Amino acid sequence: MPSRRQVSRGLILLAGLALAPALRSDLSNAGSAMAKPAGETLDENTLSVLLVTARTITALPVLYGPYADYYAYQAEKRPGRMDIYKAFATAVRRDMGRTASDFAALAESERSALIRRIRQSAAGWAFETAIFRETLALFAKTDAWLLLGYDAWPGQARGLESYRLPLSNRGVS
Amino acid sequence: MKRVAIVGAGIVGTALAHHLALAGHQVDLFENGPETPYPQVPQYQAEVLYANFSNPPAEHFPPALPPGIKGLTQSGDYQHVINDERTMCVGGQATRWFGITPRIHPESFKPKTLYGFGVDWPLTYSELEAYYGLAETYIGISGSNDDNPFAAYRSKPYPLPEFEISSQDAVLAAQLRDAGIITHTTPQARVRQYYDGRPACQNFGVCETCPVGARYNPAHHLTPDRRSPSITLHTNCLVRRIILEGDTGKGVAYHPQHGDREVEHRADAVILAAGAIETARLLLLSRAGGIHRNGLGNAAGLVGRNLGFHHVWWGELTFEGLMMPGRAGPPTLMSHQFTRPEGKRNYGGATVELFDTFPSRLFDGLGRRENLDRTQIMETLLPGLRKRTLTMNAETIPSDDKYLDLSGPKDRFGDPFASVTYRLNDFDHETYRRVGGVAKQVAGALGAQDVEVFPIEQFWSAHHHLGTCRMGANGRDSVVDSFGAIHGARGLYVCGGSTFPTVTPLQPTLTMVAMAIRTAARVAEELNA
Repeated sequence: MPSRRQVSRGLILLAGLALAPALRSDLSNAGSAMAKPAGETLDENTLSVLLVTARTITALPVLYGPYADYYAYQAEKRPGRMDIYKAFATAVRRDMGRTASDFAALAESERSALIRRIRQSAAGWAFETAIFRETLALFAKTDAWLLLGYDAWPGQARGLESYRLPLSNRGVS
Repeated sequence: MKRVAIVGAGIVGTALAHHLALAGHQVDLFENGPETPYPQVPQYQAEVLYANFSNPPAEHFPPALPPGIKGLTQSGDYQHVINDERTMCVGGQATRWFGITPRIHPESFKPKTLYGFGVDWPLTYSELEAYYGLAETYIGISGSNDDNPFAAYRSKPYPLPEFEISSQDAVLAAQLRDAGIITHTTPQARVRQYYDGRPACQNFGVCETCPVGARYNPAHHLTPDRRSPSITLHTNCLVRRIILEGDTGKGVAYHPQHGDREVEHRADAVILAAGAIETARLLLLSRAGGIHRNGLGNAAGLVGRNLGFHHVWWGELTFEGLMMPGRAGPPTLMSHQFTRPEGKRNYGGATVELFDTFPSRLFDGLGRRENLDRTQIMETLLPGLRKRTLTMNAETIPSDDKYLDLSGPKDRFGDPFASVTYRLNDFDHETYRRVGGVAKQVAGALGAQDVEVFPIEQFWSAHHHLGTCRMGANGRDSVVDSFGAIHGARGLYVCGGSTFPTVTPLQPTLTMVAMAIRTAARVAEELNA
């Protein structure tokens, strides 16, 4: 007899797989097109490390939430955040001993292990709130909703008539 | 052209300014706080899209005022921080609201005559009906009376069609109907279609910070292409006194927050529209001679008395099946059936709303908890799928333990802040007991597994602070007349929820705007005379 937790995990996985590709594309565009922050943006390598990290800790093959815009916004608006992001990308590169772009090519288990090592390192505390918990918080209010079976997350333009229709994507039932 | 000074640039102050400027007068609009961006894209970014923990102060909307500008002390039963409920910026609290905008029922104007509690209003629904229509057109209200047998009569249709109920709510509405509970759509200050330069709602689901302007924000009427050149907006200015010559209002004395001296601004009429708390405070601070020696309009000692909050109790229904809350913004399903309960006398009525929000206690701060991984987050959210939030907005009556005075600490200029005392009375306790019964009735009709109504002391004002400058027929029992003119003074008016004699179950904002348009017409008429 599977535990409630195991059932939940199974349901969540099934829900993730059930997301239609076309819907994903629409949501991805609608979520971020509204309000991109202006000004300085993160360099590509750092952003790539952050996004791969987000995929790893959320166990999502594809991110639909506005993660890239979110990191860019935080880097621009929050004092010190850009430095933390860059330091994290450096820590990842150091741990790998290779270029950061290879981070994405690692197997998920290797990425998870690498992130675990950094979190447990002396410098890990600096990334805990600014990166890991912030990313999970963003997940909780965006992609988690899709996994739960919603067709959008709160704050996303969903089209005026969508709420009047039954959900097409029941992730949990 | 005459000059009018308006204190407070919230939804009432801006409506007054707009209509007085249309009538050909020069308006100076004073606001304690700043302007905030409109449409509210930066606020939406900071609070919805990109906010997880805390944002730097510069990203707060509105930004915090300098120390010593906004203050208030409170005692009694109210557990929320009243000071936090007062949004001081251009647009005021209507920069952050759901926009539920019903007309209040005709009988709510006569609670004393019909039910034996409170006092009757010095105006009737019939006298206000045409102004309700003007207010609905001005704001852009989407609604319908067709499905609401409890709605007040109206002489013309809503300017925009209603937001129809959701697919889930249609199921619930049918179950409730079978049990004898009639539900209906909700009039809302968000536009169903393109309207007056505002785009149609796209259902972001976060109406309180609408990023496109579909939900009304008073700043809409202050945008460059809509704002009359006759309106001068003075932001970050604290009005400290009303200037009186004899019994006639002649202007205001204000202090720019960053200035080093007080400035006198002369006007032919002064209207206070700064909310129930600041308006009463300003009247009490503006002592003059004769009958105004204890504060303007305070000959009978009534300024600050009769404070009333809207009493909102939240509840939560738990179902066996999935409810999937959070797909629409504010409630699209409401019932006014319980606003006039049988035997209403020692207790009041309440509206019942099925709020379409995900339970915030499951959602807020989820990512902040330590050592929570993705799976644990999902498990925490899962129970929310089987819940619906119930809100019940109840009426209340004034009592001796609901008031404000100036016993608070001093502000940066040496003037005392207001101090609020608010204690629930027997009427409130009995109303709460009845409200709990209604919640159980709704839960039973819907076959909910469980219903929880939050404790009585967790009532919330919904930012609806009312009373303190009650309107009435004369200066013995009230502060202002039905147009907001202060008894015993000339050229001085109060407008907004502060003049409400009683607190009705229905949301007050549309009524406040309707009364503002009516007051503007009267002030313009008197200035032109």
